[in-house]
Amino acid sequence: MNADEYDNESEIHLLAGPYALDALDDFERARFERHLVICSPCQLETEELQATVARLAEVEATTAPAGLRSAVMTQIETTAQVVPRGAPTSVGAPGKARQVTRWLAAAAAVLAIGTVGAGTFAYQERQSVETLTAQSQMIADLVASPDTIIRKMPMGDATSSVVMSPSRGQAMMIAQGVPALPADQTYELWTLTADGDARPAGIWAPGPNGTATVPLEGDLSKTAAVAVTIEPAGGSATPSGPPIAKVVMA
Amino acid sequence: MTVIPFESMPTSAKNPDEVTALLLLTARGDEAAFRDLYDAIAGSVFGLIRRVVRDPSQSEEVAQEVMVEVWRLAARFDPERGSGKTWILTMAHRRAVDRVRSAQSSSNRDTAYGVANHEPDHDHVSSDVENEFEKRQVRNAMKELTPVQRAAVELAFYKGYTHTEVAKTLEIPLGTAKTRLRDGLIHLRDALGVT
Repeated sequence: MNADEYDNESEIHLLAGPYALDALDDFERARFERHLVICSPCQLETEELQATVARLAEVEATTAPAGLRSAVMTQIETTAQVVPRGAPTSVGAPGKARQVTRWLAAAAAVLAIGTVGAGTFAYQERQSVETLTAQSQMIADLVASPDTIIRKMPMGDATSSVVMSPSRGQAMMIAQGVPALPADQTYELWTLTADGDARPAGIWAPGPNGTATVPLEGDLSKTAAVAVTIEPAGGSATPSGPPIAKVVMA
Repeated sequence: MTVIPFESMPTSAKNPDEVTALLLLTARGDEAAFRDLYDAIAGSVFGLIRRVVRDPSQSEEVAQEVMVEVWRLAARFDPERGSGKTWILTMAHRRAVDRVRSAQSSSNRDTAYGVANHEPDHDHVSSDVENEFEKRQVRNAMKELTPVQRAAVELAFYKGYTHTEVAKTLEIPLGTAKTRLRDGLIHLRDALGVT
């Protein structure tokens, strides 16, 4: 894969704005709607931006023409309604559990950027809901930021993505299929400046089924690339070997 | 006006407003609820469509189509994904834009669109006080956008321009137009406190 492919892939995440404003042509509208089905962060953003557009629309309210009401009422007499798709829509109070599910979905979609994560939920269920919600919230915030960059970072047989918002100074690595290391070793994240200086961004280990969601630590300004190395347990101040994964973020 | 007992009113924790509840009742085939829904939303639907389509009789046609679609497709509405008002106004804007695009070749559209001397285009007068407050909020939020963001959002929203047309009109690259439409809306979202 080359850099262009990454760009095309992350570019579609920018289309929620034009989509909410109906500024896409038919082809792109269809393309983005297909993407929406699989991308919860974009769904979330689209919902919010459509609500924003509705606010713009509302201020245009005026009195509807007198004849419109009776014309509409006459027409619905002979218009059949569609039946709900699938299960009936829940109209009860969904409460907090549902909210958490929603964030989970957002996090899962980001996880799925690499590949479809079959075992993701099993691992996530073992994490505390608080941690999970905080992470999901961070991912959702990151994705909602206008300058967010999402890059795939191939890591041997594992897949990972780095989501970064320079304006927020936040980034997250999300990985799947990462093999566990012997007890005396650890994975370590690095941010690299354009000059190639590596700054430690945190040590981490994959969960039982090889997934990891890791916020990058430290000052992210001047970050031109993100890399992962294998270090002695406890981590290192400078990389002790070549990276097993590296992606250019600029 | 139908009186709906509070307990049997379908609600959504996320969107507990009247329009959402009436739309959920409409989805069950409740015609009385649909009449109330019409009374609650038709002014916004028509106003929005007229703003984009301009021609009053065409606007009325499109508004009728939209309200009948609301009746027909009500069961597709999911209150977890947005309010009833958003669902209806999204549909109304889409239809208005479709009408403008099919009715006008781009050569008919305003071609001269100065970014530098552009003022927000709010020519509609309403006496409704609440609406005035909303309007001021929106106008102030619009003012906070950069000139290019604002021009891009206004061309798309009020005139139904595609991002390609926005790019051409504002003489900016297509990618920039897409980005400005997105970050402009994100800014409005935050300024208007949309959650």
